[in-house]
Amino acid sequence: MSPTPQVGTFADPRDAPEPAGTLGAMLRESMARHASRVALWVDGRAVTYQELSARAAAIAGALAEAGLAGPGRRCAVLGARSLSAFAGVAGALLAGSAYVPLNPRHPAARLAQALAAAEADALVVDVRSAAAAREPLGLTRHPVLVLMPDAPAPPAWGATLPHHRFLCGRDLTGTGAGALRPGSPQDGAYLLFTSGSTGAPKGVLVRQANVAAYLRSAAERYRPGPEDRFTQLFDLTFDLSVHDLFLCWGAGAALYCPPEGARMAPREFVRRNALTFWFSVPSTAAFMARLRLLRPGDFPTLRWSLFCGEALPRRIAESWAAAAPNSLIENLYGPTEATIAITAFRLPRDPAAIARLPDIVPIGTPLPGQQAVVLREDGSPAAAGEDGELFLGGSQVADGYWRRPDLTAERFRPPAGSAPGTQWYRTGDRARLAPGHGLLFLGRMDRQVKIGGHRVELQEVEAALRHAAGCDSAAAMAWPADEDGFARGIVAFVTEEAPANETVLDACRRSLPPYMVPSRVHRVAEWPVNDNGKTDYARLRRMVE
Amino acid sequence: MQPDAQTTERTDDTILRLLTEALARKLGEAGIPAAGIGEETDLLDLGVIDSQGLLDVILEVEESGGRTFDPLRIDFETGITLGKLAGAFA
Repeated sequence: MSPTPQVGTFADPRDAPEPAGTLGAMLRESMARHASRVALWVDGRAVTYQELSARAAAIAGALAEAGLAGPGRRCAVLGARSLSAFAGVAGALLAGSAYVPLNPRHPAARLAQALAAAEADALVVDVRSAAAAREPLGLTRHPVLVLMPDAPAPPAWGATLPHHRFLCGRDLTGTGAGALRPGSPQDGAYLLFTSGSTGAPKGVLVRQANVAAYLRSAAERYRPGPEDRFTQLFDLTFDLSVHDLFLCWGAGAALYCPPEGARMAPREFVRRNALTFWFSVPSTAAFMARLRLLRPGDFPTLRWSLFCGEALPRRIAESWAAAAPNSLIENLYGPTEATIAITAFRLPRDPAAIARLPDIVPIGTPLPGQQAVVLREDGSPAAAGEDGELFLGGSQVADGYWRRPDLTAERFRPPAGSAPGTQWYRTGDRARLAPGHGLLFLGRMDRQVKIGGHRVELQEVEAALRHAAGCDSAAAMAWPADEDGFARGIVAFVTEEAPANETVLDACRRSLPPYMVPSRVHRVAEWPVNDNGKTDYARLRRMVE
Repeated sequence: MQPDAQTTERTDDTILRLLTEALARKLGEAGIPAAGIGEETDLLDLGVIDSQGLLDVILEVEESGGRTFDPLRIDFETGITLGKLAGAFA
């Protein structure tokens, strides 16, 4: 039996569930047990566990032959929800390495920065991302083994980068896969980079044990089976994709990736393929609702509907409940630092009971063995109904920020009074414990915002703006918000001396991912400052309202 | 009574023009020239139009064109173009 979830009090860390094995071991088992079943529907076709296994083994073998497999190694994957990108993830894990997902839509400088910061010595590139690999590899000084499973031969530009080695389709024989050794729960599973308030992305290495703790909870909670069919809507750089891939594949189920155009409104895709598990950011459901694509009874086959990544408005949850009448709905919450999701709130089945929920659906209680406490500013526990900062503890919490002991010391520290032996993370999220609902998410204590579920530190946007504008005075804010309270984009402010708006935005596009690039720029004649001489954001906001 | 083919064609042209103008404004705000974007350009390939941007364009044209967007008339899976969007306005 699972231990009772702990919220608001400190628990005994020995209550945590036993960790399962590694993702690599789980993949091996599923690939053997479910060989002839469909593992993946992607690029317009079905892929069996056997085919996925062969492709992953080819990549794992190449890493082993090159001496780049095993704990302490990191293999980056540059791809966008393609068969080769998924095989790259699986191959890295079979090799016992951690994978580092890279998004081909991100600017070359940012990709190169991630490759260098991750100290990745191998890179899997899918066919659609080959062109996007050229510039970051050109900027990368350390040698990288570049695996291009879809390409018959290395790209011509590869010859201009002799310090990197390229292996293509026919070179990937998988012969080295036999020499691979099983990993351990302390090995890295994946390294993700999120927006950083100091102006550069920060990395989080999530260990096998962290993921195993989450997947064990999720498997007990949702009981997926081989007949289930999961949505796959998240980019691999979004850690919610880890839930999709490994909860699904651990159960021998099938993962369905809608084509890019359908990803923002996959109504027909879900209906045609009779999917049973839905997982998305609430923005996707909000978009479908606003386009009148959420109609009562639309999704009769869904048995689970999960939302995570940003606040879930009750209005959207009500529409979804009507559209998916046979589905249980849960609102999940969790920062990357606490591995995918660490609290959950299950919505009642009765529409009248959903209507009585707060405007923003609660984030509920911690998953089994995990802890959540709300603390006052002085570090003492907040009473029920009192606002405070949310701290998360347990086996899902990562060790810290990658190669950043300063930031780690600041954020990964135990609250006073907690039992030794538990890893803690200070979220910066404001929360309140509400009787009957568990935790309510109340916003941020700092300037972090969510755009389409993506975490954005506005200071990082401002650093890019200052660089682009060549001046000290630059500001960014999330604006406007839509009727559900979602930030629709980022607006920038620069002084009149800055280069033309197009020039500023073009420079931002060269360093920031698309969702962090401001949608418009305001030029300010007289920069507003408060009594302390700092930027007066309230006055800037009034300029656009 | 069914509208005659010429009237329908004219109305579709109007919607297409309104969509093109709304998209150009959207791109202009982001400092991106709209020149070269045609009826068959996949808007997602532009890399700057997300679901929110698409929604803004659709709602603007619904208001200015006086017609309702019917999302069931568009196949999102084969890409999103101005031509397809125009065809989904009832």
